[in-house]
Amino acid sequence: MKKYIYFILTLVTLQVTLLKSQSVSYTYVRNNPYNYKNFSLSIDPLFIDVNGHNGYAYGWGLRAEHMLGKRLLANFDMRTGFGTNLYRKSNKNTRNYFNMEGGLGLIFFNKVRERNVPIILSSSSSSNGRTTTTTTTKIRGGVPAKCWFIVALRGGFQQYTNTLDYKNLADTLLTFNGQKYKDSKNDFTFKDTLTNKAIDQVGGIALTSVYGGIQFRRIRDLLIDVDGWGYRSNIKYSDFYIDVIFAPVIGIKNFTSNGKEVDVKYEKVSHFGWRAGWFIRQPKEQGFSVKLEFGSRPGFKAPTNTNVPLNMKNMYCMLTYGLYIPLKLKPIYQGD
Amino acid sequence: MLSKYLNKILYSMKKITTIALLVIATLARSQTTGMSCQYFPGLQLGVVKVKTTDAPKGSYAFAAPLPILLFDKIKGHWYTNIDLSALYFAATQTNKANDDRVKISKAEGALIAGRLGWMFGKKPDFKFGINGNFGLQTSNLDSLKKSFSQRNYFNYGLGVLVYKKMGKLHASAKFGYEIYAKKNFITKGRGFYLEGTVGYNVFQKYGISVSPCFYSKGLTYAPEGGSINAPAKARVTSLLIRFGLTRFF
Repeated sequence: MKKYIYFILTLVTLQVTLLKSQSVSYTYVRNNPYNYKNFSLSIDPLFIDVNGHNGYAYGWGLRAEHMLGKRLLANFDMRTGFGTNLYRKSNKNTRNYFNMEGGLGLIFFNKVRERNVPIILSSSSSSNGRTTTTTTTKIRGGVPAKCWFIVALRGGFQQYTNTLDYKNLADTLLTFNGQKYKDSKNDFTFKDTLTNKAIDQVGGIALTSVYGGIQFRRIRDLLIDVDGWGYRSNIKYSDFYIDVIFAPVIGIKNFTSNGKEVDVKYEKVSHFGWRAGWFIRQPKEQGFSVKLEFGSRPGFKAPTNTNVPLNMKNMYCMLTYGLYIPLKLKPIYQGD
Repeated sequence: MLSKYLNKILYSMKKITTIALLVIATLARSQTTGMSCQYFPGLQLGVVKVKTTDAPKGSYAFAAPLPILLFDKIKGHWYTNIDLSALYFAATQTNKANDDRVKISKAEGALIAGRLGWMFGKKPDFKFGINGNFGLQTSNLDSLKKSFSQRNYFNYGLGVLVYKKMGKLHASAKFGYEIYAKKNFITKGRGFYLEGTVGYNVFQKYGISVSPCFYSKGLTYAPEGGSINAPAKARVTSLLIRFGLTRFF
């Protein structure tokens, strides 16, 4: 019984955060969001994409983003897999993970406003073995900082390929030479006629898409000298976006079995998908950049008899991490 | 009697003051200079040679893996190095690992290893220092195909380094001695490394660096499937040249 009480106590107190606020005096060292670099090139040695098509893929990538003057944004993102799940199951039928996209954004809202932003003076955790307590001390009410807020309409092109696991696809909608998957999955298509061994039921998919959406960018560069605490900062350069994706071309790779090519089709395709994402870096300093994206790719419609009109086969979540180099490239907007 | 004690106290104070001044002079903040070689990832060219007394394996050589994942940073008084090159290379081979496209696993060096050092000298354009090394490494002693099947061992070591700045050109040199050990695998292991780096500041704070390196490891180990009581000996030498992005301070 004691064990359970200790366990519950630990669980409860693990999440306990004590917040202390206090008034302090401070002087501004930096508070200019226009003090930024408008171009960044990122080399991502590792990304991971967890998705319905083949489970997961990991690899490397390149990203670039550029703010051209006051009105234009440019984005580029390329990722290629060196660890694509199920890719090695076949030398002919599967595709390696690859994603490349590029686009432009037109800024229609571009303003600097003063907002109170939180400044954390100290944060510490203490534990007595059973309970952990986190104490955070921050400036009460935050500190007024100049926050640059940008909103843009964006659009671009995207090319995507990956390995496709036929498992969990609606077996009445997926067909092989016109025959439903539920009927063909146990016949000669997936059996090696020479060895009578099963052939892995994996193929490939390619999507050629255009996307359009809205992008929000926030930039702030606040550095203050707090009496008795030293330098504290709230520095941010982050982007959030939501896109609608339209794929006029959804290519499911034909399946080669026993030397013969079998025509693979999915009867109810959805040409539309969506995604939301977030990427972050420092306005001026070089460092590491993170991008997180999730959504539903165009592709397979859910069968009509399902309660939720959402096909998990299209869902994905991608995280990439890399080193970026920020540069000041003309044209650069630094306020009117 | 009293003056004797006073003299002793004064002498001790002098000593303490002298030592304190020396420490302060050493730790005094010099203007922050240095370079951060961010091979994240970077590229390398070179050759790795394995010479073993394990009869069926003999001697073999292979081209060093192309991609590396390595940080080597000198900033102010600190020297830090984090190396995940062999682990990263192994990950990059996942798509190839199951078919005949891999003749031999090229993973050599750090799975995860680090160095931490302190640099002395008040002049911002010249510093020298010492560092300690620790990590987990791998060598393809068994002539395997799959990188993730290779056995690993620990490394412990000490090193010295020197840094010089000449305008836009930054240079550093490192030398270190390491001990390798792993229960039921490496009974005796010794090695050394020599690394040189030349960086050139191209644009704003950024540029490129070129780093020629030489590593030599002598290992006494239990051969694959063999006994620790009948060990084999191996000499693993790597001659490399690395290229990567660099940030200058």
